[in-house]
Amino acid sequence: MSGMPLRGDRIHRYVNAFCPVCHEERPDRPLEEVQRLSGWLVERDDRIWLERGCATHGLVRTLYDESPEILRYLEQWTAPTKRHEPDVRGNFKPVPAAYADGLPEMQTQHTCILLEDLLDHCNLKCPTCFAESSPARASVAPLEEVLASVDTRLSRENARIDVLMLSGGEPTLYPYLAELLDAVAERPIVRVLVNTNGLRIAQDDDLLDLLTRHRERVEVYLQYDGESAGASAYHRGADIRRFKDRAIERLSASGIFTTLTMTAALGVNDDEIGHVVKRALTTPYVGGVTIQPVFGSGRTGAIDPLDRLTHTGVLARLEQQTSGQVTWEDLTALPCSHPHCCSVGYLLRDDSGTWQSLTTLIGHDRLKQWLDLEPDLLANRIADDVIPSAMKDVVKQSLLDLLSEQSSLSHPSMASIWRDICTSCDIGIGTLTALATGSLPGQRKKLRAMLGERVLRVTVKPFMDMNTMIEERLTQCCVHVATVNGETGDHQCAPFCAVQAWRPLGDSRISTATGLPLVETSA
Amino acid sequence: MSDPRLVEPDRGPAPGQPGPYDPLRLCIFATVALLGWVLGPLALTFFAVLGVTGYLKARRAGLLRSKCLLGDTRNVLAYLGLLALLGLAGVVWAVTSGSYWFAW
Ligand code: SF4
Ligand code: SF4
Ligand SMILES: [Zn+2]
Ligand SMILES: [Zn+2]
Repeated sequence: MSGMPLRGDRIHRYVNAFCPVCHEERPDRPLEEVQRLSGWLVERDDRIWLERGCATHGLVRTLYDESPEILRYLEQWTAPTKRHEPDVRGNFKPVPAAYADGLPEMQTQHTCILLEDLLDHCNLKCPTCFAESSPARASVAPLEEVLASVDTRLSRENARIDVLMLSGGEPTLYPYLAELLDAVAERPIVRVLVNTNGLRIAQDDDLLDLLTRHRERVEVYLQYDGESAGASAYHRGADIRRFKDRAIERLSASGIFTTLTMTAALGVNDDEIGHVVKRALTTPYVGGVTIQPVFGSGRTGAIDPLDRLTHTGVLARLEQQTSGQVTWEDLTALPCSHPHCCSVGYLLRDDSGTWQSLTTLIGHDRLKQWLDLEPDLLANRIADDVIPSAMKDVVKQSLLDLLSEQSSLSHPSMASIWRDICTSCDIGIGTLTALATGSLPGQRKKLRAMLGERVLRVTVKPFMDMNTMIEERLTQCCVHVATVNGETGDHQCAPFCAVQAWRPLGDSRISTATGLPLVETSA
Repeated sequence: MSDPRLVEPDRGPAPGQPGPYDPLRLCIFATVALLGWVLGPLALTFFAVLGVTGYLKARRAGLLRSKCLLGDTRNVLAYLGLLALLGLAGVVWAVTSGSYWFAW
């Protein structure tokens, strides 16, 4: 014998994780009793597995990602993170207990997206709802509380929120939605996203008017799971496709920037990803597609933790399902959150009607150089020779100019753009418009229309459940849910994935913590 | 019911205790005997021919002495050749007599 034999696998990265079996046995346990476990991501059988050692359950193995190759590619896209202000200074408690007092000291990223759950009430009862909303749950956050929460965040974010996402429950059922949108318009909030199932948008003209009135700032994130009746029934509990179609038509006709958000599950609609992307490509003002592999927090129960759709699995499926129009190499990891958390790509339609991705136009290497701080050098080179002349107009007008806030229009610096995509992380095309309108007041309409028809943003957002949860992603999370401190009653926030997974945090969501029973209004 | 997420670490037997002895060879012997019984002369022919080819190759490659009791590889070849012939005869006999080689 010559010493110990090799392990049969290859460690990809050492991580801290949590035991999903302990979690399922006692989902309501106090956060202090949740153990952070030593673990690793490991490559075996051409997949990435998450393994952690639990004192009770021994070695626990679950599927983390389907493609080691694509995961390694994503990990190349990292950028410096931004400073944050903890909700309570001196909070060095471990994850997840730390989040009971909001963002802790050890968070490494600020709030890109603040998510306010306006109410727990919903007009659907989706089997896969992570908020476990339903018509029966009628808790509504008072308007003052929501605004107080927003103002608290503004005070900790240097008086600027990049994205405010209104969610729930179903935010279009919020009795004070109009007042809220007006109040938000008076605050330094760049973008407002309304996360909706679209049922009311399909039917309610007053609501559509309200959204249209705010469309320079408000975007709609419309739940859209594909074209099949099966997908609709699985995720939403009923075939509600005609409402979706009607909602898309009405939003598009009103010039409201819309992102289709698809919840994708293996064996249900993982073959419809291409359909959703194509629908977005062909619908004006559908400026974005977000694909979320279904995750197991909330009501979803039936995910196989050893064989499920993952981040890299979605990316791998793109090429074949879009007949090569979009491939995984057209996307990069979103550089502000952890590279496993989100990938993003921009598609631009040139004058001949061909869609091309930003990464193809610019090249991966150059993009990387931008992230690595060689702005001036690159800006010149790019402007000179990289972008085909057919694309020059589109790129110049829709991206270069748009993203440079202190824009020197005559001398656009492409380098700042990519960094700004992080600054304006998750804002979608509407933001580009918002920024552009500042610098090009005369061309607003033209630009808007052009963006609505010729630019599409594709993102993949794999939220974590306890079978995939690793601490470092929570630490660098930039998507924060508004919560209320159980002891002090102060407004604060915590990473989305943590709030969905751990019951005590879920119960501190603003809608649940401050909610009052829904009083039927005439809306 | 066992949860498929709970797995054994990839490791050898616990150090210190070699674990109970696994008499694998006894199983192999029995299996060889079973095959011999079921396949009879056909098996004999097959393995004998296999042996002849193997030793022919080995001899051409320069193996003059084998660890086999017969020593010189030429002896081994002769022995295996004989076995092959015997096997063939057995097959012919079994087929012509209609008895085949199964006991049932
Ligand atoms: S997923 Fe959305 S639409 Fe469905 S029940 Fe939950 S909140 Fe309502
Ligand atoms: S919400 Fe979850 S997946 Fe998204 S950035 Fe935060 S930790 Fe990552
Ligand atoms: Zn456990
Ligand atoms: Zn971000």
